[in-house]
Amino acid sequence: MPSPTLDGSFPFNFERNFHFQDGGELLMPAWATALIKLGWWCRCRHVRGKRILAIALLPGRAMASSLVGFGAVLGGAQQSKPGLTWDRLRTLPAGTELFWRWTADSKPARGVIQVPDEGIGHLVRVLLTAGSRKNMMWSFSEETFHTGTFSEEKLPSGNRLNADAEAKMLLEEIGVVADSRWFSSGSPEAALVTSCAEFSRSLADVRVVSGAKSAMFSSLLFASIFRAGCSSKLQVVPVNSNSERDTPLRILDGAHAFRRLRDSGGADSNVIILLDRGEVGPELSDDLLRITGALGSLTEELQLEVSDLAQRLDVSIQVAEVDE
Amino acid sequence: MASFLEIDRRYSNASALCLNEYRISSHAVATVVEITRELLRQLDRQDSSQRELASMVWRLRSSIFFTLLPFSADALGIAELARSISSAVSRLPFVQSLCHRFGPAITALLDEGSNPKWIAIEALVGSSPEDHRHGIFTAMAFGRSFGRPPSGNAGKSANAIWVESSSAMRTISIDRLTVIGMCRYLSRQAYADIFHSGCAADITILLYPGETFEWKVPPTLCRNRSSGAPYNREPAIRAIETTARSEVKVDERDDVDVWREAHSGNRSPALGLTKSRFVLFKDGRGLFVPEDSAVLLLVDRAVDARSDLVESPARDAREGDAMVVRAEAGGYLVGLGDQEEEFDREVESASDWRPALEAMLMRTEVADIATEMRRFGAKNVSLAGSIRHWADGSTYGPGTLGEFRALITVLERAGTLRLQESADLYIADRWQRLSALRAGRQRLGQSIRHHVLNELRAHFAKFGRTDEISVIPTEYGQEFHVCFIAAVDDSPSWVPNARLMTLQSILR
Repeated sequence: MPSPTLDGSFPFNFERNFHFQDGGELLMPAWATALIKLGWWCRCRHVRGKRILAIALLPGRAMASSLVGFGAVLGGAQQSKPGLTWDRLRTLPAGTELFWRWTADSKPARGVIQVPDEGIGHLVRVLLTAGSRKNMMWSFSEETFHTGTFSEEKLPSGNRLNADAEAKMLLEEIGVVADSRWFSSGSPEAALVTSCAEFSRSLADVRVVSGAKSAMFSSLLFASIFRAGCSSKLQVVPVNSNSERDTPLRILDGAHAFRRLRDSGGADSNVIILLDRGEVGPELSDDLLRITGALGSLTEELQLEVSDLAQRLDVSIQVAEVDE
Repeated sequence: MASFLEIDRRYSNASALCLNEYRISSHAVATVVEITRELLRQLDRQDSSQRELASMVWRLRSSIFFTLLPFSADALGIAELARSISSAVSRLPFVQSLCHRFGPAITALLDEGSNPKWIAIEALVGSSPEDHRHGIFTAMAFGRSFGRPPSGNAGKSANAIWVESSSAMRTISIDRLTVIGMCRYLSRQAYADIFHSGCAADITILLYPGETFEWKVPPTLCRNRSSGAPYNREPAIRAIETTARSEVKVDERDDVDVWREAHSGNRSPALGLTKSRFVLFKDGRGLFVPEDSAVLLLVDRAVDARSDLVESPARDAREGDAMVVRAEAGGYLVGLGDQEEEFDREVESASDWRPALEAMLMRTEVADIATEMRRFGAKNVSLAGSIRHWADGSTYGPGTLGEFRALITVLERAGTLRLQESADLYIADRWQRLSALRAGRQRLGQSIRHHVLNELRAHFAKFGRTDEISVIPTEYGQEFHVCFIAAVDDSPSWVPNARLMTLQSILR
């Protein structure tokens, strides 16, 4: 079982047993593993006081963002902590919506957090907004909290959970054992700024096979674009949108997305920029030079962790001070 | 959409690229090339009529280099173009000797039966294995092709895939590629789409005497190319001669700045001129887009429910993208924007109480503000959540006048909101404006962009991609035009404001 702490070595062995099925069957190629590792590493590796900025220049960007996103999701799964902890729940202000379910089969419930009752502040008080006890107040304790799955976001329905089952089995096959609640709660591991149309089209027919398990590659991404309203691990954001959430990793896919570098997103998120060679004209090249010129290098130790990537991809990985 | 297998092949192709310079001899072509090259060298580009002559000569040369039709074909218009050139040259005393040689050289060219490059293509496609898909790229200048015989005539043409769009090279699936001439007039992006995207591992470039091929190294992030991504390896380049090597060398001064000749913008800054980028559309017209402005682009080749418009500087637009511009008498306007900007400005000014709320939130709990508001008549049960939305701007503000009044009262009493006028007047005015904004937003539908997108999708569903500029009307009395891009000038030009965003035909 892969170690939950990052020791720099990529724990997934794709090259032995992970096939893509799309136009034929293909064992995971080296460039794809490198992209996955790039996403995984940038999701998991954090340098105190700095953020990592990686740029990859490719012959073409097709599928690249999905693979990088997949890596980020794997990284998040490895590090999975339950999305909403009791402590965090206690800090949520009155008026926040809350969603929960007790078992995979039970109906999801929802309510609005209320100001706790005087004297029993150790219980969380909620006004139920759905179900047979709608409009009634309900208070619960920490013990009760731990017996269910709670989230600030809508939880996937039963059907969705079954569709996820295939994905979960395949992930287990490659050694990803995530906290079971990671699948249905919490916030995205990464935000991906891209053309949503191309993203979904590129994944339409891609299946993956590992051992006896198989699943649609798109299901392994837990991407928001395929899971309307449910918690997702990869938030797919159109280039024009302002709805990018604060995530540990931002993936900017293409020159148009690259222009969003300075906008929104988390102030200290790591960033991966994907570009294809046709997009890099003199002006963009200048922009890149200006950006990379102002960045610092990785420590030798960190460089060693990603040295193999430089042999498969045209990539630059540096660090920036987090102050703006 | 390319399959995963095809995408993998692109990485392999880019890592093992083999370029073949296929030199075709033709005495007739060599003679015309030599004479016209000499002519170009002698012309003074500062003189406007000589510059026009240089343009015509360029057009003649490129028609010869890049056509696959017999040179005498009417559609090419070589004879007519040659006559115009002859007549212009005859008026220039310093090139009389060339004048005498020009006529016979053209006659000899027109007497050539078949097109030598066409013969070469038949040979290349014919010698490809049966199941090989052989791509042939023909759009060699300004995104334009220069004519070819109808399909079905290139040997085993079932396998020949004719490509006129450089952006298609990014997704096409072929085994080998033939580019029918020198690449000097391809835009940087077109060149990259063909040679740097891994579309084929084997690319043949057909070259007459006078044409040369130049390998442009792809951009890279690494200083050290040799150890690094396999797809950055240098390609293998070999030469295939069909007969003895030609004597004609290409002179640097052959090089007309073809874009500049076409649109006549200035290549350097000057007072009163605005920096801009020339964009050429598929119907042969183009316009100068201010370099700092963002235009709206539809970049998805297949338009579906998820396709969106992207705001981007014109220089990042690529062949095949569609530019969406607002039409106005006298020209186009950049961006969707003015109407939306005005709307946004009005929202800000009608919400000038928002900073006061934010200030109050810094020192008071939301729950307490909510409690206070209830004291002054607010009735909403989940007030606390709403207050946060009002503060961060994700909603316009309180949903009822009573709530709004309560909020303003609380803010004023807390001292964070100081009013110049009576509270009643302020509340009435802001409430009326907020209501108008809400109604306006609904009336605008979800904004102009959304409307234009819907119309675009409907348009595509009906007509697909066309070369003509399509018109999309909106209910606000505006028209949007959708223009498909053929090529974008690699370098900026400086032009007077009056020429910006105005369609012009280019000298072709």
